Amino acid sequence: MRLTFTRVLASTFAGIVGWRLFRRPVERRLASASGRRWSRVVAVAPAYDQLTSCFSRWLLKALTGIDCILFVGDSAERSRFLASLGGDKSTLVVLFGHGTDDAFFTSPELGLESDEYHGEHSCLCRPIELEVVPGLALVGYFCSSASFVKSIPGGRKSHLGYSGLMPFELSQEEAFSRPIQVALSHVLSTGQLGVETKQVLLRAYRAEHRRWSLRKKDPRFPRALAVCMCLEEHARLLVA
Amino acid sequence: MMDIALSGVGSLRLAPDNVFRILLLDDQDDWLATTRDYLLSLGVLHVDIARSIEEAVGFLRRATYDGVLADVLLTAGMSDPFESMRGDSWLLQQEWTVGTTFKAAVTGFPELIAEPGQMAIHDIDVVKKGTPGEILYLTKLSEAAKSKTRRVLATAATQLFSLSDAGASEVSGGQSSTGAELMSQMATVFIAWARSRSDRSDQTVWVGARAYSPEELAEEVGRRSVVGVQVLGMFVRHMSYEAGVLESPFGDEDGQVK
Repeated sequence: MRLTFTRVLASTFAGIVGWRLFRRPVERRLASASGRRWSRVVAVAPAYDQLTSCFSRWLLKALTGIDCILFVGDSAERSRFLASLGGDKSTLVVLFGHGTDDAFFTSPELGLESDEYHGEHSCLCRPIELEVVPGLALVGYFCSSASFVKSIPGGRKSHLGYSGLMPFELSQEEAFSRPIQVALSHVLSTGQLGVETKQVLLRAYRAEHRRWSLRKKDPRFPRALAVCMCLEEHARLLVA
Repeated sequence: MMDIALSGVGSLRLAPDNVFRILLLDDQDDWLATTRDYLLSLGVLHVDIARSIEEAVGFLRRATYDGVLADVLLTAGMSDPFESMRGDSWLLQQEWTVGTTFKAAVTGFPELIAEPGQMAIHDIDVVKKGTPGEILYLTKLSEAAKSKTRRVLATAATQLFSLSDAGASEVSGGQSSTGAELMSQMATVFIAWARSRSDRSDQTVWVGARAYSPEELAEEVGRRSVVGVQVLGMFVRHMSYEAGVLESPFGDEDGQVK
């Protein structure tokens, strides 16, 4: 075959077009896999009762392979957690545990003012303590986390949370762990947190709800009704 | 009193005024039985049958009906068919008594209706027996019946949510009688369901920062504590989603009153 100038030009052009077509998605995947939107990811899941122990398992599973600062179990200690938020890096904070609209909790020995919480919890952080974190986005898997985020001074924050007391039926814990795992994976892979994430989580809740609705009449799943009720409540309270 | 099943967890006993009631008048047992069974299968909760006008009048004196269906020619026991009592004329005469939403003269021969113009003026439908039109009419009745049941459930739900907003301390005050009665029944159904699940102590429900066994949940609901009101709210909402009273938080979940 003779290599004419036109053929060389044509194949070069095709190569450039092909490279452009294939290059972009690959580059996008790499960028999102490294969580480029946030300079760091800080995740906290104390484990001091049955519920928080479940949460910490879910968090570890959801964050497998993600480069992040992790405070799980006894390492969910107040001073270390707050120290990790220093600097001017944009940060995604993931909080899994008990909380109220004015405090996120950890084990009584690891935080502050456990007397205020009857020795059952202590304060890991308050909304005002997160004010200094620039570019803060927050996934709050605890009661009233939406109000907690609202109380963080310093303007609008990206967040995914709940507006009230959350119920769980832990004998069927995968009903709750799966949806939150799907949502967290979405947040970490896309670098996005907002209404779209809420839709992803709602779809995952709906899938679980359908599964458990079908099981309501099956005697092997005597607690299916409770699971359905809890899932409905999660979906109802979800705020992004 | 009438019971409606709640998704396999128990039943709700509705007061007579809250039940959609239908009265059928015909001298043909076959039609009465078939129509009653069909309506019940469609989810209508209460159907009474009368074989004569006297019986029908008796029923109307004792209760209020949402639907009355009367055959046109009531000839049973009459030697001369021309002396028959006519259901269509009776419906017209009783119009002030039969203050119902649905009134229909049911006949195989609509051309026998004596005063079709008057029937139309008084909103009395003419339904031809044994035709798709009859099935359609019965289906319409069943939809209206379900709609009434939904409204009743909605009353209970609204009552509960207003209580929930007001806080548990307000639970005992300011309730409408229908709402209070239904709320109390919902609580009873939930408590019975929770107690039937008390066989395993590890089956707890976490609400906020505390785990509750089914027995404890039943107690909380029984005394209408903050957690009890929340759990009862979840239960009523669940039933309301299933009945289509409230829009599901998932958007398009299926659900019917069973």
